[in-house]
Amino acid sequence: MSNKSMRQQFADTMLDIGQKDDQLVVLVGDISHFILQPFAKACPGRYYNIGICEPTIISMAAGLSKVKMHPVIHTIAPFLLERGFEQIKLDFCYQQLGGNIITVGSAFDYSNLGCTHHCYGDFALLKTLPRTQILYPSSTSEFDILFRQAYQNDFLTVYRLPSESHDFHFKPADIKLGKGIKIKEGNNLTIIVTGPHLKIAVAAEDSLKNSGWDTEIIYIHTIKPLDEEMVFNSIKKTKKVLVIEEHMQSGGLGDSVLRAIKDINDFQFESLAIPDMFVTGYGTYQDHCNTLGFTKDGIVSKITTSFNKES
Amino acid sequence: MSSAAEIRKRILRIIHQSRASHIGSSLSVVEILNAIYSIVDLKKILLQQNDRDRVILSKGHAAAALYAVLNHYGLMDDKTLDTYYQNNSVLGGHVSHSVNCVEHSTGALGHGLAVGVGMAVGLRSKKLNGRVFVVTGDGEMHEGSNWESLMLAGHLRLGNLCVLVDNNKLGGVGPTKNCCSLDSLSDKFKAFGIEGYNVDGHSEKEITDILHYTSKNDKPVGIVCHTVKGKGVSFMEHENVWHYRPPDKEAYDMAIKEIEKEN
Repeated sequence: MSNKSMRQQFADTMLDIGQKDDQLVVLVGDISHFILQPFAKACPGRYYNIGICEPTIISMAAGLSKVKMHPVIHTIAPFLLERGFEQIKLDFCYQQLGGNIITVGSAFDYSNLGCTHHCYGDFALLKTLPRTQILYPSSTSEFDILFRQAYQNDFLTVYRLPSESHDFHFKPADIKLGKGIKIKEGNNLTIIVTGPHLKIAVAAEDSLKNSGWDTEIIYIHTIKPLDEEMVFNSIKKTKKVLVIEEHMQSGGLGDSVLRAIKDINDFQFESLAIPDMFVTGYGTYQDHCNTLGFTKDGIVSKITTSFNKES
Repeated sequence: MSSAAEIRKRILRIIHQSRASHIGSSLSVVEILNAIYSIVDLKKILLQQNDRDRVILSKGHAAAALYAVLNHYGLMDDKTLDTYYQNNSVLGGHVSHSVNCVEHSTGALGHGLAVGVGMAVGLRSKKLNGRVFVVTGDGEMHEGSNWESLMLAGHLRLGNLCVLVDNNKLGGVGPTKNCCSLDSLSDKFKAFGIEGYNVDGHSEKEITDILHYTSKNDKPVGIVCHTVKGKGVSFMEHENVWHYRPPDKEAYDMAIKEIEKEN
């Protein structure tokens, strides 16, 4: 198991690709500067720490895309995606330009820093924009593989990097943009999970098995475009689904799943997500997970109180 | 008749035909756009060559002026120009990238300069010679993103970037200075590490002289072009009602008559 952080993997991937592809250019908003120095040295004229000016970093990247480079924008999620939303919408999506946004500060990762640094509406926001791809790679190899698949295409691709990894290692061939990964087959319950909480979903499955649940687990790293076929076929079989996501319950993966399964009769849907509130308090990331139910016990409780095996 | 007068007649015609708005903002920017397009390599733009000069009209509401200029320089045919504002036309009330030879869609103010900064960085990185010309409005300079971009342009010493401000001194509802004063814009440019100039924005020679003089610059260039909103039609000049009001038949006839008489 690798102890490498997601952010270090980002720097390593940039270095490796940047040495082979002289169109790759990296813009950062005064973060990750030191770990990107190998890239900066190896790729002169293609690394810019442009400071704290999120709207401009996005438009500037659009200008780079206009001259046929592959821009990568990197800083903290809410400042890029929420403050710079119009720049993403108009300078990239409307004009059909390709580009890459790699955020840190996933959901409430910056737990101690408070709500100004949180971002749990990003899936919802980005889903409203045509020509976006939303990726949530939660292991280092996933990021590396997905970035290589997507960075040159003509979509605006957002990679939400969490601070935690789920610690699972998939076969590289199984990691495909837009495709879910079936972790386990099952017959009477589907868990669809995105992000690092794959770990607790798998842990919960052991407990659920003892209570008679035969759980199918689907891991989603691509929020958009969603693997609707895998989602549909699973829930058509099990008729019960719990969607787990570190995102507002409105507008996220759960809503996309509901849209994908609207033609299935008699399904039951539940969501383990962030309710309609700001995640206040300044504890650790794990403190917030405990409060919101993103734990093994939280998943078991949600399922046993929401679903009846016999129905 | 001067090319600027011809362009003004085209602008009046398409805005009158379509009952569109922003005639005043379009008339003030004519010489600025005409000066830029008179010095760029039109063939490279037409062929979309990688080392072409790039022009971004960031004050996208003056789309009629840009389209009339493109038409004047043979980059847009007459038939297309006359579809301005019509259903299913590629020509709308704000500048669109769907139009041939247009680099970037604008209309939401405060985007063009930052995109231009990115283009200038990219061209320099690729060792391509093209220059980037960004035209903003004076009211548009209230947008914070422009000041972020100016900081960066100066810091990165983007000698291949030139920003031209159509300083017609009127916003949507009145004098720009009543919202927030923009006095000494060229001094502000200088403070940001940008070579700042003031010119008569209706003198193509003054503008082109600076564009030629700065063609091998190692610093970005900022030209404050002092203009008159509604320029060329006496009853529209300085009259902000023409920010939105389309000229009716009587006003259109009077305007055309005046331009033909004066030129």
